[in-house]
Amino acid sequence: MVKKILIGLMVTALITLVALPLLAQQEEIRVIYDEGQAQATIKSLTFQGTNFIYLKEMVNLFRLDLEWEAITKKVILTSGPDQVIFFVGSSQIMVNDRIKKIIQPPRFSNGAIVLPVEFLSEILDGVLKAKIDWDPKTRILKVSGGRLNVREVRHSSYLDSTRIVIDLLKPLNYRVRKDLPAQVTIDIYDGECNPDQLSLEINDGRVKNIQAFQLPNATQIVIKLPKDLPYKDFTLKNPDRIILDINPPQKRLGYKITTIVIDPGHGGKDPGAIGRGGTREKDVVLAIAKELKNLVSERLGIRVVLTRTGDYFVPLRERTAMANNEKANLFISIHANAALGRARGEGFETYYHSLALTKEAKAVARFENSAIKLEKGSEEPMDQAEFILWDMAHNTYLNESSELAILVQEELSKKLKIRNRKVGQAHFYVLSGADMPSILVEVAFISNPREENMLRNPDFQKRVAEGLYNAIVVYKRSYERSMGLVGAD
Amino acid sequence: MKRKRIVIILGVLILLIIIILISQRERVFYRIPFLAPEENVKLVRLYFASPDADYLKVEARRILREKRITDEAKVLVKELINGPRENLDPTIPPETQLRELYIVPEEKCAYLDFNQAFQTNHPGGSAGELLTIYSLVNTLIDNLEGIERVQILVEGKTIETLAGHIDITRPLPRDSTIVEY
Ligand SMILES: [Zn+2]
Repeated sequence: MVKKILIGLMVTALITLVALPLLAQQEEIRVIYDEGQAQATIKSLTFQGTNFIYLKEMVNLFRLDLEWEAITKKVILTSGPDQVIFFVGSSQIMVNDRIKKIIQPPRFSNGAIVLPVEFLSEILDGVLKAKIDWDPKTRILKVSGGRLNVREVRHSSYLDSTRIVIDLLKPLNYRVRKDLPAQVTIDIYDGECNPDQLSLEINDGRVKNIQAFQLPNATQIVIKLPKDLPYKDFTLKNPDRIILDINPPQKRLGYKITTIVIDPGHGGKDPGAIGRGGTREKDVVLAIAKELKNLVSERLGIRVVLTRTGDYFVPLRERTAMANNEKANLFISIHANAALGRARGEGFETYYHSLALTKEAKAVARFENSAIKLEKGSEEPMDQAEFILWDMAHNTYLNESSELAILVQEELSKKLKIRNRKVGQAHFYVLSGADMPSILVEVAFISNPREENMLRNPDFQKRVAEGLYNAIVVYKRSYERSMGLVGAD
Repeated sequence: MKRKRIVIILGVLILLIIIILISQRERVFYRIPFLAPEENVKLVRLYFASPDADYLKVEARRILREKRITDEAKVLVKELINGPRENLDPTIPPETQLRELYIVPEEKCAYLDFNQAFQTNHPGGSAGELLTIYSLVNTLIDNLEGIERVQILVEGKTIETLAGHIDITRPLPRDSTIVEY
């Protein structure tokens, strides 16, 4: 009799033990998208009164890319350019460039990663441009606007122009109109946006405000100006975006090129970068500089001065001073690149100067792809003293320098079969005092054995010199043509 | 007598079941082993080079929280010198040692003083220099409250450039143009 009771009890206990965790998982959550147009059901678990859903299901739900690192318990979720990083068990999460704290951290449940439903919108805010509402009573998760393809409108105010950037999820056709005075309108076809999120008040003297409207088949961005101003639009990739420059920079007039200073980097006690095969930067850049000098002086009849003609040391300050004393119209510094790491870089790139006193000063890079990434952090106004200093020192030649840098990249890409990296902007010591448009070109990576071999090849050196020569020719022609054409863009 | 024994056994069994049930419930959501308590850990953003030396990329890593900001800054620099764990490239020569680090709160500036190897063993090149300098500058400014500039020193002295390119004579603000997120 006692035995029977005991066995019965044990069996009951066993069944309960096995069934209980299963019972806990049998709840469900209904997901409704875009006001009931689509629905889905996902599993949920409850722990200490909080509802959790499975990471795997959430990733499918929002079409995110998932990366998982078991050792560190790190989860990386990506959606286009946006990224969320968190560690299972940790309440600190990183959404794009910001670190946030959430009250209930993601955790493990029987080996699977689960996330609290209540904090889903917080976790995914900035990654999904969707609105997520959780109603614990009805157990419904409402997701609205997850497929917005016009995601953000940003702006940067520069010295005398304003850049407006419209971030897209994918390339979209658009049209820029100027039907009304003091107003520019951009129609983005098949655009879908949340108008409230996109409207901006700017008032920087060139743009009053930006308003967004959602039409049945397009997103309309209306830019209100205080008066009519010239503008220029273009698109960029990775991420896809439309750029509209209000009052874009204009070309300098009456500018003539009669003297060029070419600066072969390093020399003497400073060998520059050294390749694994022993090739020295100072030797190859001198060879290229001499080649370029011959081309320019022979074919263009322009006076060319080299900052060094042999293997000796010249301080950086003296190189710039030499260019200023010679009253040069262009300063071109030639280098070979290097980097730490496995691949050690490849390709050619061209830099022009920036005054790295403030991050805003860097925002002058108006032309190329990589420079636009900084705009997110360039909203604070510049300190007045810094502003004047920056303006006096560098506004004058930045446009020309960046234009020459772009031309150099273009012309080198026609001559060289290595990677076209980028136009960059940085605070170079040798460019900082130059009283003329100036660039620094890194013709290839000497730290990369394949490119080191190219660099020591006289034929490669010659092709680099030809590319640089062609850039000078195009630059010169473009400036001579623009002379006297007042107001031309 | 017999009935009393049954009651005791039953009571013990029920207690056991309750205990097992509770522990089972807890086991569904278990704590992660081998990790420091959450309040002692700080999630930080470390900048390392992309494999093609094009950009700096962020590696999220967890460090132990330090009481003093100077100590936390030192940990960050050391993590950078140790190099990336993920598919990124290092930005600082491995022989580099941080000699001293001090913070001047009024200047919102962190001064980093490295040994000579930092400069001597640097590969050079504009790309290499930019990656080195801004992996330090951006990492410190991003992770430390109240720091807006970083001054790099070698053997206690300011130097014009690391290897002939980027001007580091003054404290540098953050630069996001060479960062890819
Ligand atoms: Zn160099």
